[in-house]
Amino acid sequence: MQHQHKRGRGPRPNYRPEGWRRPAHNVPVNIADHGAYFTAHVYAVGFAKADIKVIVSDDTLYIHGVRTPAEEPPDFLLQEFPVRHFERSFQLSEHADKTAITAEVDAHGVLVITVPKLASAQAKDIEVEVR
Amino acid sequence: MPSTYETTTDLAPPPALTSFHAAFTPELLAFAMGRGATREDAEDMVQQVWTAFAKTSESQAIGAPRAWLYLALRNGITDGYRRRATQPLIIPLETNGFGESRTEIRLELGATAFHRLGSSSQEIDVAAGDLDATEFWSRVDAALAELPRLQAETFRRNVIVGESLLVIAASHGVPVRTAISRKRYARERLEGLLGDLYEDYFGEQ
Repeated sequence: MQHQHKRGRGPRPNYRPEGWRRPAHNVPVNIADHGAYFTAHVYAVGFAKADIKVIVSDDTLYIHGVRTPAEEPPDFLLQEFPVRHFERSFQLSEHADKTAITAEVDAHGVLVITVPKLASAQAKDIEVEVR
Repeated sequence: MPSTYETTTDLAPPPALTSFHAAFTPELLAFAMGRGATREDAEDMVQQVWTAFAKTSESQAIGAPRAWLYLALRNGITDGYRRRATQPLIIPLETNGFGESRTEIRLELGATAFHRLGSSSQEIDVAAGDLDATEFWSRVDAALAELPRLQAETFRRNVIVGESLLVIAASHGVPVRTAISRKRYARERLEGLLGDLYEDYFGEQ
């Protein structure tokens, strides 16, 4: 491609957010390992349970939420959480039991997804009987 | 989901590779699918192989193109198996820990700055006079035009227009995983294709 380069043409507008993130569309997620299973806490506060979809598509976990604000959102001076929709996606390993994944919204509005590990992936000692 | 190889346009090669592409793509797809790949995965892998082939052929002559293509594809399949066997139980598919890649963020910033989203609430104050929306979008559109059609469309609709991958996947008749994969491939290509644009408009690569 031929481009006319504009380097050195003076100051650029300061509209780059800190930290390279897009909070208008994404929500933070905590993932924890509990041995036999792991959990993903999705901070989807403000999104109703009925408006959240959790989809397991082959080896991919996809989470999507939408909402229609009662009023048109203002011109934000700072926006650090989404008000219209979000989506996150994760790749699940072959050791995740994809058929036993569950999801619920807790009392604080946090979406909790539980993914059991297959027995083969659980690190545990096996005692062999001595006869 | 397409039942036949109807995505020929999605795998459209550079003009110089057209004859190779037409001759070898069906058998490469069959090779990948014969080793357990879904059709969508096979199309993605074959697309990556063609991209690598085009890039390599720019700098060196490839004496045995068919063998080269098969070797690259087989290596890609093997890498995929190895990666799946050793990866953590769950990993985010976005390229940073909290959301999306620089490419996506910067294009959304561009969309916002140049009011392409069409919503007054998305507008921000752009004080500098040297931003040229027409040039910005012509360069973005030119980069997108170099991508396979469905990859470009998926990326554009998700990142620039703001549609969810779920909606895009449904409109294409594919699983959401395929839409995610197409977006990821597009993002990887755009990081290279738009490097100059990012430097010009955002001050860094």
